[in-house]
Amino acid sequence: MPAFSQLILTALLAVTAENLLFAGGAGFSRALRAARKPSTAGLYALLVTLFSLVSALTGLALEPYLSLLGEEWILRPAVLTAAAGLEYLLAAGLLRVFAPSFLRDHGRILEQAAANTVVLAIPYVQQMFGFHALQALGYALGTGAAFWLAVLILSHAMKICTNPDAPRAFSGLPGVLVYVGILSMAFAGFTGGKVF
Amino acid sequence: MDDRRLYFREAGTIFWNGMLFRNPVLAGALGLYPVVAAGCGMRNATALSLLFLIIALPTQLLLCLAGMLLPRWARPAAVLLLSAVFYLPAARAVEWLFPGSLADLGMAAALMACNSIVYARASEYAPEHILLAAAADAAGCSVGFAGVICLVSALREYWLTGGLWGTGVSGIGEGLDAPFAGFLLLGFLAALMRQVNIQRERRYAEVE
Repeated sequence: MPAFSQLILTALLAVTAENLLFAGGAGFSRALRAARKPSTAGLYALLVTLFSLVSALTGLALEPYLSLLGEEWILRPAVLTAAAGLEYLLAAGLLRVFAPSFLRDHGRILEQAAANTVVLAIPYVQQMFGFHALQALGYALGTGAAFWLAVLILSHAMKICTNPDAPRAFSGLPGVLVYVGILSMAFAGFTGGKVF
Repeated sequence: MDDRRLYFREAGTIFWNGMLFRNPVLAGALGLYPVVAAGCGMRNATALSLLFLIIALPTQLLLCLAGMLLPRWARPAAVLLLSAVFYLPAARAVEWLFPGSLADLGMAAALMACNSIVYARASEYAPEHILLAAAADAAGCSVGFAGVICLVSALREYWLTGGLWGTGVSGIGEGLDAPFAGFLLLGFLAALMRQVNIQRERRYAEVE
């Protein structure tokens, strides 16, 4: 299959059947926060996409060494989390030097994107499905798009769920969680159950 | 009231807020992933709660002690690096108590190292509060997280298998191990928590 088609197909997979957010339940805490400020959703999703790409590349680069480690479920998460911390530090350090105003204005979004569960999940998904480099990059791009869609859907859900006619106990977050549960049920229909 | 008693009373309030009234999962929508994706068995819930406690407590205490020495923009990296370090003893303790549980939990256990509750409390709350408050907050959030994940897991395990701690044989709720069931249960629990807070507000208003 041509390389570009593989990339696009894996990206589509990340947005639909193997959607980390709706089918896997990952990254919702951050998506809900991002949905409170829909005006920054594009930038947030862009940064999630960039960090997802870096996370995928880190996973690919470290994989040969991680496979040699014993006690895989103890050491792998520590190494990948520490790598995410260093990636954020590098990004923030570079911005501090070359674009301090961007870091001042959007530093919060940068840090939330770097520590996002969907970003850190990419190397595990890559390993689980045995993605090669191009597929991993496609999945990272698709995950960024899925995050953006989730934020748009959640910002709409938040408006609906603060309707004064709703019972007070379900107004806001409880209503949004039920709304997301129903959407996630639709994705479970796609996948036939638990994906990750 | 002397200062020490006042401090302990405040710490008690912080603990109760983290545990119940401002529960990070039900009121703050933080740490949702492990609850919805892996909260479907008491063994899983206990293992994840233990992981959370052993990562959250030292990370928050260290950020409380040293966080103000770091520039604001560097704190997130410090939290991720410390969480990665404390994941090692946490994972070892869980593996010792529940052999094979980390492999069973897979990605859900691995991603506890970047749990959004630990991240938010350690990078934002801990550096700007005294040690006692940070400790009370870490303990309260740990108990609050454990309470929610254990409750959700117990309900799902009972419906799925008809028992708890692997004692069940057959249940009625096929598909309840999927994330959607976790979201729906969390929605109802969050509504229950909201109702409790509404009642409390009413009672305070009556007293005043």
